[in-house]
Amino acid sequence: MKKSSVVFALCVLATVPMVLLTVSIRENKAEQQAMNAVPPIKPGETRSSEWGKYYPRQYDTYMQTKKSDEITDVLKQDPALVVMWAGYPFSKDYNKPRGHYYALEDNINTLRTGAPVDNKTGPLPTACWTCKSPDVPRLIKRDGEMEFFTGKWAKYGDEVVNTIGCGDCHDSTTMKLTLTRDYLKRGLDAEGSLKTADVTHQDMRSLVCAQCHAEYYFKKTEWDDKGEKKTAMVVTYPWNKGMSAENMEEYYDSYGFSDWTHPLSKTPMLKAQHPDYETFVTGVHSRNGLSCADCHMPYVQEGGVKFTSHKVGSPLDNIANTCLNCHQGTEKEFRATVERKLARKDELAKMATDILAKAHLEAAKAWSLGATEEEMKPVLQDIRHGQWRWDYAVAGHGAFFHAPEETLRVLAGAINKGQDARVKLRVVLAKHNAADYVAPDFSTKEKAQALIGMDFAKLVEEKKTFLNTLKQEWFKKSEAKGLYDPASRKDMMLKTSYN
Amino acid sequence: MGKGSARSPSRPEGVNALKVADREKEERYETGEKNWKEACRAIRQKIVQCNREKGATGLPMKYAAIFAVIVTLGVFANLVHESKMLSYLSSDPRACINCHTMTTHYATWEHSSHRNRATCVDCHLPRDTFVNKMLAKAQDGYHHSVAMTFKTYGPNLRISSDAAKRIQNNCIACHQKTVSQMMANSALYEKAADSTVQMGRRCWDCHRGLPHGTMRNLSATQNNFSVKVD
Repeated sequence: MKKSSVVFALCVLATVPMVLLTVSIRENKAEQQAMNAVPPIKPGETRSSEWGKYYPRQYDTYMQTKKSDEITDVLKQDPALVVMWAGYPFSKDYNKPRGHYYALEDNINTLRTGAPVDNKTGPLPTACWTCKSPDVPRLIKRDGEMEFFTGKWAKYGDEVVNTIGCGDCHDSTTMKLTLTRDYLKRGLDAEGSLKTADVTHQDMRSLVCAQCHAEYYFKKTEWDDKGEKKTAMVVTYPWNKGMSAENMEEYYDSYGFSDWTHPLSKTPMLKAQHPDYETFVTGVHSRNGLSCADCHMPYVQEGGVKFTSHKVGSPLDNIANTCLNCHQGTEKEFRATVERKLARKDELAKMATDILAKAHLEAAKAWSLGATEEEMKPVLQDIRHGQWRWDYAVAGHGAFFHAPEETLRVLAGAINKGQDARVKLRVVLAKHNAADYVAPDFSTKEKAQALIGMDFAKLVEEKKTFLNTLKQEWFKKSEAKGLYDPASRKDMMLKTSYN
Repeated sequence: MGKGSARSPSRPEGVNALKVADREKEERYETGEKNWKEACRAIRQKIVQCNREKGATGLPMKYAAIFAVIVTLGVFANLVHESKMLSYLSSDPRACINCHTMTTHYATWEHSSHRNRATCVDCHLPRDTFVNKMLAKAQDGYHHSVAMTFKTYGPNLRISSDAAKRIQNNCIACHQKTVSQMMANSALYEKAADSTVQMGRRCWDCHRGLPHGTMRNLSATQNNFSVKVD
């Protein structure tokens, strides 16, 4: 009799407090869930001000990227670039980057994107929007990736209207960091050292940046649109053989890819596009587990609240919250250290551009004197590889700091290749009785542009017409469609290198 | 006395009467005993009979007990699941944010330079022996459970003096080389602030922001994108 009853009583005695404890835990969990709840932002929301209603601090700091508004004309700083990029849009207009607030504006205003008069004209493909806006993942979802990468840049002028914003990096249904560009996932998986499936939160704090801050090219891809043959220019990362300058060069060489053919030297050229991520991962900060966000988006305190600053910019603006989290020293010392690194890079980069521009001009002279393809082939290969290396080292403006050793190493390679080309060119020129040929003067942007036969005034005039007509129409149309967020361009002033 | 003598004449009669009474009594007793025995036997039989009948009424009680054990085990298993009890046996920092109370501490640590070198347990638990570690874990776990269940904690958590000792020891354990000279010199100090601490004061009396920052109120980190528990 007693045994069963005792067991029963003990069980009741044990169960009651356990049930109460479970109830208490569930209450705490509900509280936790309420605290972690995601606000009702609609999936794929492209207007950052809508997100800003729930994340005012993040939004306010993000909007402060408008303070980075200075236009620095790089072609003016180093006119050799005009010669090196002859025949390629970068010879028309190239400024140092401004804040994310201006990303879309500057893409529309630059002479590189030309002056389309309708949605089928203009020199560049749709791919040129890829990094500028959260409207891009929206369009890829709506039209499909292949359709998005097909056609002219102007095709999406009234669709891509909100500058880089919340939706480029965050999933509105969970607020977690997310990759909205599939070509990065494909690049990571092809490269192999960090597979998409294995990325951690800390990796994501760099990879969301690597969606744009990486080297890419437009891969010509034939596709079939319900029976109609179309050609897409798909943004692709050349990471299959690795991320170093030499690995990518090998990748491009392996199937004879070139971004354009240089009109003076007739070299099949490669253009490097800011390989920030690829160089960063070779640097000491990456190897110590830091992410882009650790320094470019420091953790800041405002009153009683801590949050990640979304004013993406130079860590030198906030040394106390970035460098000094780990390092000893004063702000002054840090500034001096960084300036010294920059000066070293500039010194070698300047040498490289001078050599490479002269190589192009000397090659043009050799061609004009009747040099043969056979004579010129090794020369052109050296120019191609030399300029690629120089571009790889400097196109990502932070590489001199992220990876100083790698940057200087690659620049040294560029100088070596460039000089190799010029030594070979001297022989060709001598053969054609021009051993003492001196390349013409390209010491100013104007002289250099005249040298490559560019009608700069005409480009500017056409562009201004575009800015006053089609550009205005795009924003009006998109506002009518409810796509454009006027808050994203509050206080926007037209600022370019040419007006 | 007179009274006794007054009765005495009737005594022989009375003796007889007594004998009769005794005999009757004996007889009564005997039958009583017999009856009692019978009654007892009857009761025993009743009990046996009862016990036999009880076979039917005793069975549900046994089932009830078995059922109660199963329910208790079930409730316990659910409690283990709900409380993520087993996660506390690990060294994973995410176990410390099973409750939201530590999210600020997690977020601030995750943004600090210590994140790559030291997890929660590396600083907050003793590292000398496994037994001490587990004892400290149990002790802290108990305090945390009580505070969490009865909501006795405020928005600003403060370290217990016991935990402070562990952390101080752990600072020194990792930064041994850096502080070795200070330790040696400290033998000469007058340990004014706290005589129980090796160097008179704790590391964070000066290094106040390490690693959680000087401000670690529970509402300090509102949008913990990185510390959400699935």
